[in-house]
Amino acid sequence: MDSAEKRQSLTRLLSGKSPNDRNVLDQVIPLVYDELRHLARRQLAGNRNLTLNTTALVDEAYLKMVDQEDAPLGSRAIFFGAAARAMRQVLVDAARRRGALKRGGDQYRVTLNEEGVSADEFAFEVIELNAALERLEQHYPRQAQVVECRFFGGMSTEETAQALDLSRRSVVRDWTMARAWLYRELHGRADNA
Amino acid sequence: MPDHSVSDELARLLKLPGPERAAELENIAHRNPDLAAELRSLIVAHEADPDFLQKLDASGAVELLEDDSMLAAPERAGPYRLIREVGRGGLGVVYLGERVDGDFDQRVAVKLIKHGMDSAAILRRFHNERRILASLEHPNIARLIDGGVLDDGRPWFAMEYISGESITHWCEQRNLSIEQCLTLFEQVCRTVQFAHSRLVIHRDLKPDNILVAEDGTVKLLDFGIAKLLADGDDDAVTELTVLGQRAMTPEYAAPEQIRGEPVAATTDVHALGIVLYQLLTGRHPYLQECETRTQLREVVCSTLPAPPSTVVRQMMTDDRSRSSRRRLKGDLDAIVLTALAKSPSRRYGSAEAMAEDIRRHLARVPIRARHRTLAYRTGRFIARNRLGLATTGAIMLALVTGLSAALWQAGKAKEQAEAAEQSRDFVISLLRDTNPVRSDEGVELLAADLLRHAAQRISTTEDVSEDLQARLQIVLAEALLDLGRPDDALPLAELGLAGLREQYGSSSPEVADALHALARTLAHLGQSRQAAQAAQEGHLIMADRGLTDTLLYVRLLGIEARAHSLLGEYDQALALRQRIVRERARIVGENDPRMASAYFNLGTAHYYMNDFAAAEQHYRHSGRLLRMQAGETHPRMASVHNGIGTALIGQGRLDEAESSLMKAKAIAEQRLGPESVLASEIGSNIGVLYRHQGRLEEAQAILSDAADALGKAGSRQGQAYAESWLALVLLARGDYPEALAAANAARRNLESVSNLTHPHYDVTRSAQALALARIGETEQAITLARAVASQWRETDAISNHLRSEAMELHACLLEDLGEAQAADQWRERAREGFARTLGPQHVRTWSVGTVYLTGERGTGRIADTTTAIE
Repeated sequence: MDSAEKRQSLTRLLSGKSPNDRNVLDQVIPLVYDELRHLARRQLAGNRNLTLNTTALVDEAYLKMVDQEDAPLGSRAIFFGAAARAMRQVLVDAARRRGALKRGGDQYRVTLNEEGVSADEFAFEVIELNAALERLEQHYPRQAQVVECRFFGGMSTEETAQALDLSRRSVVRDWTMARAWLYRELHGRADNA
Repeated sequence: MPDHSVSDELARLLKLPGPERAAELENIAHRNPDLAAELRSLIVAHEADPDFLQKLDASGAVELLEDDSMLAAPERAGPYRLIREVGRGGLGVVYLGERVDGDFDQRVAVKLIKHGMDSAAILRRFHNERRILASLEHPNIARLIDGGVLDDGRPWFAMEYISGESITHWCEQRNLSIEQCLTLFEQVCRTVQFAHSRLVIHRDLKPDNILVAEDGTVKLLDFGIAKLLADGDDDAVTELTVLGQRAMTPEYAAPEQIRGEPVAATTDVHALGIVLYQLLTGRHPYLQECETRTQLREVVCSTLPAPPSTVVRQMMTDDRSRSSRRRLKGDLDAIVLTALAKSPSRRYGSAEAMAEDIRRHLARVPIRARHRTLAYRTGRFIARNRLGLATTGAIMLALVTGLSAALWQAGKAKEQAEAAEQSRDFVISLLRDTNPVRSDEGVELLAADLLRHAAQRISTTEDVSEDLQARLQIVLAEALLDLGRPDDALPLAELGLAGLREQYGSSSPEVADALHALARTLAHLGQSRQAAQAAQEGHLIMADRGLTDTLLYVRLLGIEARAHSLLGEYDQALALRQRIVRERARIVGENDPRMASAYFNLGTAHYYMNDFAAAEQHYRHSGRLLRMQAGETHPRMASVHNGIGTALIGQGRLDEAESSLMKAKAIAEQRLGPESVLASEIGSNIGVLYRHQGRLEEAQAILSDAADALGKAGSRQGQAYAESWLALVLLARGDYPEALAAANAARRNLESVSNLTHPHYDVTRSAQALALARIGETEQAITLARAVASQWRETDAISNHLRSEAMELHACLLEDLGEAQAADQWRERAREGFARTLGPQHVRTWSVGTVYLTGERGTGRIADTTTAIE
């Protein structure tokens, strides 16, 4: 699919559908995925001070990929929701590739870490978090979506509320609950404590 | 259970205080025990880390995606199909590739430059690499075959594919003997030398790039960051230097690479030293001590590695270790440590020299590095055994031997002024090593004694030619000077100079070299006029001979400039400083880090000419260069910020000045200590600033601390300046007895360093006079004030703002005495002086006669004045 076709189908998909329609998301994500990867790379190439501005990234992708004239109001919110999921996918895929390479790679390299979290550690955390998030999805799908938007999409409470068609208050509450849930999942149950 | 209830219930419960929350949970448990249990455990999890997962770790994500972008493997690069990844480096990924058209069965290593790095500069470097590699046809260097650019803009190139192991792995796996390892390694050195002879420096030598093929042939890979030494284009050189810094592998980087300084053949020698160290000991020389790269960078730049023989001792205790320890001790320790010297000039000058020593060692012939190491050890020995006077004779002998050898080398290369200079520097640095702690009296005395003996011996011996005798006298003069013995150095420098004049005629570079030693010595002795003359004669010789691109030429200019500055001949100093910058910039480029001190001195020269804006500009440029080379917290950055601060005070930009000076002070205190001379001098400048701002109480506190610390550190001049300003502040606060005490102290200090032409001497005496008058000693005051004022020439007031300060004090005294008209005249002259030196808008210009000076009118008035002016 070339970019014009992508643009058309994205705009069409975003018209008149409920933001929570899984089908829509599943169709939007592949369309957005490559573009986000590409934009992320370009953003990284442009700055050496190690910042990844996810919101700006998604904004740019949206402007580029969705026809502003034809897209109905609210498309931006839906697009953001989908893009957050795509970002998650981008990071998880990168982490998996890295993991696979590490296992096959040279174990005898003399290397030291720069201060801060290394890419290896980060990759490991992303994979762990993703697995936990998949479990959260089974029990609490909406909270999982909030995590996607807030964490992977870098979206604000307001943006998340619009994308998922929730009240701000619900977003705040879901976000708190989901983080506690994921903490428990990743650090083991503390019931005995 | 529905999504909402859990989130909502949790939020509600988290808001409740402990006991109520427990009760509420009980309630829920009655209704729905599962929900209660879930909530309970979520509360525990929430409280364990309320901020868990708040935000994506951007740096981790960035690194991950950056690396991942390299993995987006294309199927093809040019005519090559990429089969699989075989390695990764800082610049990109390497794939195993084969030709698609199958014309010839050729396997290649395709190196693909990382995404996000494909800037124009990298591309240019990549093109360089192709050109360079094509010229490097050598059986031990992997050949460049092809190159191009992918559709997505990523450059790639194909190299001869080498199936092999890293040299360290190869030697370890096969349990090779030291001899076998050395034989292999010697081949590596020769190969590196081949590249050097083609003017190519590798800059990233490491075991991963030194492979041994299955048939035992050494193959060097990846001349990825090599550059052509002969490339003359300054821009390109600077850029390559910076890029080179980023592209290097920190674990194998030399100190100069870490500092971002230009690399040379000796940079590769350092890397070879690390690899040899690993081959001999199985260990990296620095990594054991470091946990982070920042630590590693510090250690590489500052810590000498343990000699290989001692490492083996720690590692094994069996018989084999004893024999290898014996084996390593001596020659091999010396070879490795010579290659790993911090200063490039103390390493092997070439990979071939290193290879040569390895061959000598294998042939059981004395190696060359030990000669240096012997002298080096002698130095260490002296440092350790301060009281071991009995051995003085032996040490002296060793030193003299070292000197002779170095000079023999210098003599051989005498047509190359720069080379001679380097060996001379080498000898001097050796002697400096005998004196590792300056404050350690014992060591200094002993080393200086040794040198004096050596000097005597050289002056009386008939064993050496007159030429060598004169050269040795110069070397020893410089060494004595470095040990703080200018009195002993002077006769030697004069003798040496006379000898060299006789040998070579008065216009030879050798004479210029001797004049340099003499000029330095004279400058140290405070004989600025003579120093300027000697330095000038020296640089004129160099200029006549067309040797303006040498360090010696620039140093001679620098000595003359400093001498003029001390003599108050600021215009001449400025002209010379400008010339130095021009000459240096012509050689290394104006954005080279080595230009930092030239620009700093140029800034100071402008400062003395009252051109504070130019001073600021040059200080700032110096700071940029220094920062690039040494980082923001290098002690010299404190000097730079201090310079910027004083230049800003001169421009009346007091708020900005304050922030610069505070920065300077923080760095100086942290790096050199709060009582250090620099930190105190900065404190002194802050005191001046506070005074200008009318913050008299703070000014008094900081100036009096600075004066104390400078006194303790033995900097009488610095102490005098601080005391002089302190006297002004105390006068303004109405504390006349203390003001008098401060002015007296300042005057004593200035007289003790015979600095009687400095404008501060006038300020001090005028302050003295006013303070005397205010405590009722009117007659004394008048006598002193007359003496000072009678010396003032018309130009004094407008050449230096300190004289204007003195004149304003003088006006105050006259006013106290009831001579209002005369007082007004002096005040007018002071105002005109400030206007000319600092500018009409400067706080000191408009504040004349309104603030600062008298107890009654001083304190607290500056705020009023400021408002009035605004």
